Amino acid sequence: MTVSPISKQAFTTMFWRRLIVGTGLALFFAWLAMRPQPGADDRLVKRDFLAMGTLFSVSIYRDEEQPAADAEAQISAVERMLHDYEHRWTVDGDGELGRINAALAAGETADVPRPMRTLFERAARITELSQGRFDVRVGALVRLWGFDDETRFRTAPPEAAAIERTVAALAAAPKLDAPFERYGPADGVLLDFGAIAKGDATDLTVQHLREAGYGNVIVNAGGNLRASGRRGDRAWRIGIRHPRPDASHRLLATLDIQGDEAVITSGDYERYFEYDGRRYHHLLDPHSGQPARGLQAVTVVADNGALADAASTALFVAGPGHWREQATALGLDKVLVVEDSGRIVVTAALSGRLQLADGVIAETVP
Amino acid sequence: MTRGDALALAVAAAIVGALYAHLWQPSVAASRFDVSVGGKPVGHYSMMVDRTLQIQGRMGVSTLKVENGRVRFLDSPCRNKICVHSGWLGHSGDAAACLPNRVSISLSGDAGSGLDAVSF
Amino acid sequence: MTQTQLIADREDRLVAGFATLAIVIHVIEAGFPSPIPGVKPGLANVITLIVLLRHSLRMAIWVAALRVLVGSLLVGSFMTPGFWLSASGALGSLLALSLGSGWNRLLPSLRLSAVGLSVLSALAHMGGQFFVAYEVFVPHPGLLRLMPPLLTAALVFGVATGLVAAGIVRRLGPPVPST
Repeated sequence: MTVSPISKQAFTTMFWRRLIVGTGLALFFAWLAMRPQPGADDRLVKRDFLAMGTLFSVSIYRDEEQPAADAEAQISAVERMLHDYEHRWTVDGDGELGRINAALAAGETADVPRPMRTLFERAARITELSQGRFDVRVGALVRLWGFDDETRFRTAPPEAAAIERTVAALAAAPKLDAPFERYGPADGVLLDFGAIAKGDATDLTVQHLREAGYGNVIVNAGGNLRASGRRGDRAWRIGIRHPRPDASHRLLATLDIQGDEAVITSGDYERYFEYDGRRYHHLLDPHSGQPARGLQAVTVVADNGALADAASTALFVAGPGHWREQATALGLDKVLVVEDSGRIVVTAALSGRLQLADGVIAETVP
Repeated sequence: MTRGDALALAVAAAIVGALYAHLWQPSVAASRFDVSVGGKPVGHYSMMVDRTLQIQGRMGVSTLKVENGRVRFLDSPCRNKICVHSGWLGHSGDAAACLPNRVSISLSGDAGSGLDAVSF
Repeated sequence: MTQTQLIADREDRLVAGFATLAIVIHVIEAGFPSPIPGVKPGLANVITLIVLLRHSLRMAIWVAALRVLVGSLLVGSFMTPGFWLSASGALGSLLALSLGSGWNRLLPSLRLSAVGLSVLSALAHMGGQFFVAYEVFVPHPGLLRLMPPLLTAALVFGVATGLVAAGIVRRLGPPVPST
């Protein structure tokens, strides 16, 4: 290596050459660092919006040839559809259910508009199969407990006499009956589809998007999940919340969705108040008029959102002694329950698919 | 430096550059990690659940700690503790290994929590 | 009764001397931290390179082999993964040096100097270690992620060792021809 004196011209040439090579290298490395990851999430289209009193989140995994803008437009269409749906099923007000409830309050018979009859029928069927543990006629009881309106939460349970009156009215009221064209008169009954409508809405959302050509979809209606298809080369992956989370346990388990499934959890932590050291939550037993005791959470995995939604309530109300027979009666085999003691029980059909969080021990039952 | 050297350097730089392009993806938060002993996978875990794991390796037990969506070697029966000094890992594609104990972890997953939704 | 006598000739003494130097560097290097235990930048290569430039490939191979064997015995890594990593690194580097020497013989117009040889051997050194680490010990995709930065380091170290080796060879001058 010899150092030779260089002329000024050679120096300039070398300077420029180094500058160009250096800039090129810098650009090359910048490109390496910034270039989009191949096969990244640019095919995932996700939108959040408020509907039915909760946060809806709709995600579409679109095909390559489906423009993102179209997927967005379809989600907007879903949002409009859900606002109509919410209006129809709101307990009070000038929507269809509001008008039915107004008629019932006036001691009249109410006509049930045709589009509502399907859900009336499904609700009646689940009420029958659950021996009244799930019942859309509990509106008055929910209102008595104040769980229908988050702005006027109670801090103490209602009077025993008031509960008794409401339960008695419910027991005496007529059932929802075929052909579901009208209902009433039903003294003291307020219809509230809150325990089935969100699940049903997720079904409608998935159905709407599938008809629009999107088969890979996940819908989250305030923790009520409904998924279809896959997320690209993997399944949709969901978590199940721990009913008593702490710093190290936020989730009980994770689960990969297989095809077309709803995962819906009912827990005593969603809406509750504490009085005199006891937790009073929104999952009311229509027979006793009291919050159902014995369980902290029930998660139901089924191929239908409305069924999973209503069933999670029915199983919660059935309690530790009866949830298994209740599941069988409803034709469900994928259930996870957390008992008050913290004991976790999973049915065999679900336990093989769950990835339990560390430190979480679950018993498997047939 | 000869022209041959310049050529050798250019080829070497090209190889290294190509390897960056091939092996380095822009990093995103990891949602899960896989644990292997001697290259054989022994388990995959969520990064979302805080916990301490004991992994039996060839020399003894390596301890992994998961916290706030990150994972690290807490202890390992090796001499240099290089795995422990790797510290917290949180990005997809991150990895650490205790070579003497043949225990390795590699992080994978996608942006965000890795879960598409949580049922509650 | 005939007696076989082992007499160290001049070449043996040179090999021993250079190997000693290489071993010292090897042991010092063993104390350096590395993201993958046992994978080293290969600073001891500077000696191998000097021997190659001043003497011959054959002697360079001897020096490298002795360095790996004795060095690992001294560090206490003999027959452990670290030893095999050192050995594979040295093997890779020698392979690159042999190819480089062959290249220089075939294409004198594009001759590689110390720097070119050193860069190639440093990359091969790192590549060899990676190959063994990945294929034999931990076939783990995460390991591959460490490869580009370590190869970048190898590139830089390669240039540095090459310059150092060239400087030392110039200072030492041509070897005294053996009689």
